[in-house]
Parts: sequence; C-alpha cells; structure tokens
Amino acid sequence: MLKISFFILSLISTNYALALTHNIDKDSKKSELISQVAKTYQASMAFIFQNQPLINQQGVDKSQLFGQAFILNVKKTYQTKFNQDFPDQNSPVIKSLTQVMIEVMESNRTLLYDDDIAFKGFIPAIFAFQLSEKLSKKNIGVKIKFTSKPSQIRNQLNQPDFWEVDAMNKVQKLNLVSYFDDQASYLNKPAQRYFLPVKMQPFCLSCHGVPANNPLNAGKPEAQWSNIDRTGFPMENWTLNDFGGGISITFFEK
Amino acid sequence: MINKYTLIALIILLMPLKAISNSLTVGVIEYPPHIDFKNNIKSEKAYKYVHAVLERKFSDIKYIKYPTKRALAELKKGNIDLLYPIDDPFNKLNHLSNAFFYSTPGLCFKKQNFIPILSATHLFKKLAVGVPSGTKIVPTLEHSQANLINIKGTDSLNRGIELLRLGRLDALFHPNPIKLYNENNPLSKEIACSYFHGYSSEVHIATKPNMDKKTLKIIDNAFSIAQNETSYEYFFTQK
Repeated sequence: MLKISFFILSLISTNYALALTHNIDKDSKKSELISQVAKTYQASMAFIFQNQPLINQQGVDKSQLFGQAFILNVKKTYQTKFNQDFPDQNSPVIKSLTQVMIEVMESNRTLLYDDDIAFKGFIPAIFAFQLSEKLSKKNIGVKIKFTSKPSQIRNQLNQPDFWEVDAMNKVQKLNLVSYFDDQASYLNKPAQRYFLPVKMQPFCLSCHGVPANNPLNAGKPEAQWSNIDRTGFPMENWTLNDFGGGISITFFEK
Repeated sequence: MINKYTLIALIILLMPLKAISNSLTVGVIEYPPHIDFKNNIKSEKAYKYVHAVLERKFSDIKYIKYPTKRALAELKKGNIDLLYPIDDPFNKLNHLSNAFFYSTPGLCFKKQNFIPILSATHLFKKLAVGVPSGTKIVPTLEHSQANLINIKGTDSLNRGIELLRLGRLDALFHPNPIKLYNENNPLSKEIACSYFHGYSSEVHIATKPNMDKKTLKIIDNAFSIAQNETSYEYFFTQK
C-alpha cells in the first residue's frame, strides 16, 4: 500500500514538475518574443531617425524606404543596435509587424516623394504611431504603443493607461532595463505586458531638447532662437539620458 | 424507380439553380489609388485581390463600374450582389465581417501652408477649415480653435477643393484624402494632405440586403481566409 502511494505521489510530482517546466519554458519564450517585438519596433524608429535627411531630401531615389529594402535596413539597424540576430520572421507576430511596416511606408509614399514639401514631418514618433494603429487592426492580439508620462505626452491619443503609468514608475524608481508582467490584464482578459524605457538620445533632442538643439535655430543669433520645434510643438528642455517614455507592448487574448 | 426521362428533367431543372448560385454581380466604385476608372479596372490591385478570392467560389462574375450614388441604389434594390470599396461612416449597409481596408481622414492644404503633424492642434488656431456637408469630423478638429466652415451643396467636396485652390480656405477636411493626395492625381502637384492618425475607419465590401445566408457565408469565409493569409493592405504594397 505504501509502495503504491509512493508511486502515485511520485507520478503526480513528476507531472507537476513537467507542467511547471513547460509553463516556465512557455513564459520565457513569451517574454523573449515580447522583448524582440519591442526591439524591432525600436530599431525601425531608429532607422527612421537616421534617415531623416533622406526622407526630407528632394529629387533622390528613396527606394530604401520601401518594401523588403526597408525591412532589410531595419534588420541591419537591429543587429547593430542590439548586437543580436534579427528575430525569426516566421513568428506570426514578427511577420505581421514587418508587413505593417511595409504598409506604413507605402501609405506615405506620396508625401515622401513630394519634392515641394521640405519637411515631411515623418519623424520616428509619427511612424511609430501609424505602425501601432495599423497593427491594432490586424486582430492578432498584440498592441504596441509609444507612450510617456501623462504630463509629457504630445499626442493625447498616446496617453498611458494605469498599467503603463505603474510600469514607468517602477522602471524609474528601480532603474530597470525593462519591465515584464505576465500576470497583467488587458480589456478584462489575461495579458502579458512589457515596457521598454527609452532614454533621451541625441536624435530626440532636436525636438525635445533645449533651443540650442533645435535645427531651426542653427546659424541664428541666440536672441532669435525659438523654442518651437520643426513639428510645431514647444520643446521640453530635456537633456541626454532623461527619461523619454518608452515602448509598451501587450500580448492579449483575442 | 426513377426513369432516365425523369432524371434528365431533374438535371435540367437543377441546372439553372446551380448557374444562379455560381454567378455574382459586383459593383465597383472609383476609389483612387485602389480603383481608378481612368485605368482598366482589371489592372487595379483592388480588383485583382477581390477577383482572386471570388473566382475560387464563383464561375461567372460580372463587374460593373458605377458612380457612388447609383451604386448604392443598385445595391439596395438587390441588382448587384456586392459593392466595393465603400466607406460607410453611418453604418447603414450590410457588409462582410472583415474590413477590406482602412481609410484615415485628414486635412488638405495648398503646399505652402502644409501642416505635417495634425496632433499639433494649437497650429489650427483661427485656421479657416472647410468641412464638406455630410462628413463626420474627428474630435481633434472639432475641439480645436479652427474656424470650421460648413461647405453646403450636393458636390460639397469638390467645391471645397476649388475653394482651397482659390485660397479661400486655409485647409479642407477630407474623410479620405488618399483619394486626392496620391501620385496618380495631378492635384497632388498643388495640394498636400496630412492625416488624423488614430481615427481611421473601415472601408468595406458591402453586400445586398437580401443576400441568401449560404452565399453570404461562402463569400465571407473566403475573404476571412484570404485576409488572414495576406491582407489587402499588404497585397496593395506589392509591385
């Protein structure tokens, strides 16, 4: 009798251990994927920033901004920025994300090739917002948002929700590289959520920095400097490495 | 026991039924750059995508080009089975469960007055913005300090474009500016549009009101499967 009980107990514990290992494995894969999505999004924004001269240039070939050429450039940016291989493009989420990038670029083709408009306004935040909006229509259970603290938001449609405010507070207080929550909920359903903070980098400062960073002030005497950036917003006077919000990713049940 | 004459009679009786269920009439509306009546519609991507889906299920598909008002009347009468691409801001039409694509409203400007980022609403202060009658404007514009001017008349959108060109408006609200601001439209040499991202709406393939459930299910499933495989919006980006 004792032997049978011991056998049953050992079977249960083995199954429990297997299930636990399976869940831990599944969770770590989810956490890896969610971080890859955030990095892919960030790499595409970085590529858009690096190519502001090309975006705003007149009368030149811009084929690098479209189709598979664009994705190839995002991959290169990813590899350089994170010193890692680009994630598996067969993953449905990565596949959808790269397809949506191509769609966003294509929907801006007329503007990008409009030689009469010197400043297109196609900056990383605008690209990121369009990407998020298009992805939200794909019904794949993924939401991406580039957000910041409520008082720092320029586009009111990017206002953070409670989870995002909490994540930003934790990231800042504990100086975290990122924050992952596999017990979150979204629209009253179980969700995994991830927040990747973004620190002010030199390229952010041309809009969010001090008037000395404003390209519109270049070559002008200081008395004539404007604190209105090229997009028409007042500059925030932030400096390098200040907290600039971050990328919020949600995986939720459809 | 059924004799051969009864069998032949049955087949003849059933034949027209099969033909009816296998034929489909599709109304097509001009919606540049997806469908441009200046081109042969068979070369347009929106036609190619829809036809590739439908031809797997229907052997006889007829496409008829219509102006929007007439197309809607024909659809309501049941003279056409499907109609696309159609904006339906007031949700009056029956349509397939998945959106065909999405359109984003925006503002059009003469190029020298172009505002690229429309979340910068403080730049709208005192701007004379034409709003064609019957269009649903976005809250961002509604709550801004722009001077909204209602453009009346049956052809208010085209009138608005003319007023913009004449410099009598600073900007024109357009429910889907891509129709205007695309490479194939000569107007895009003069006018540029930017978008109210975050306020996109569905563009549909509408179905006639009395479509039988079986046919509707066949079409709806076919499009759902196709869209899951490759969305029309992605297909549109392919050369």
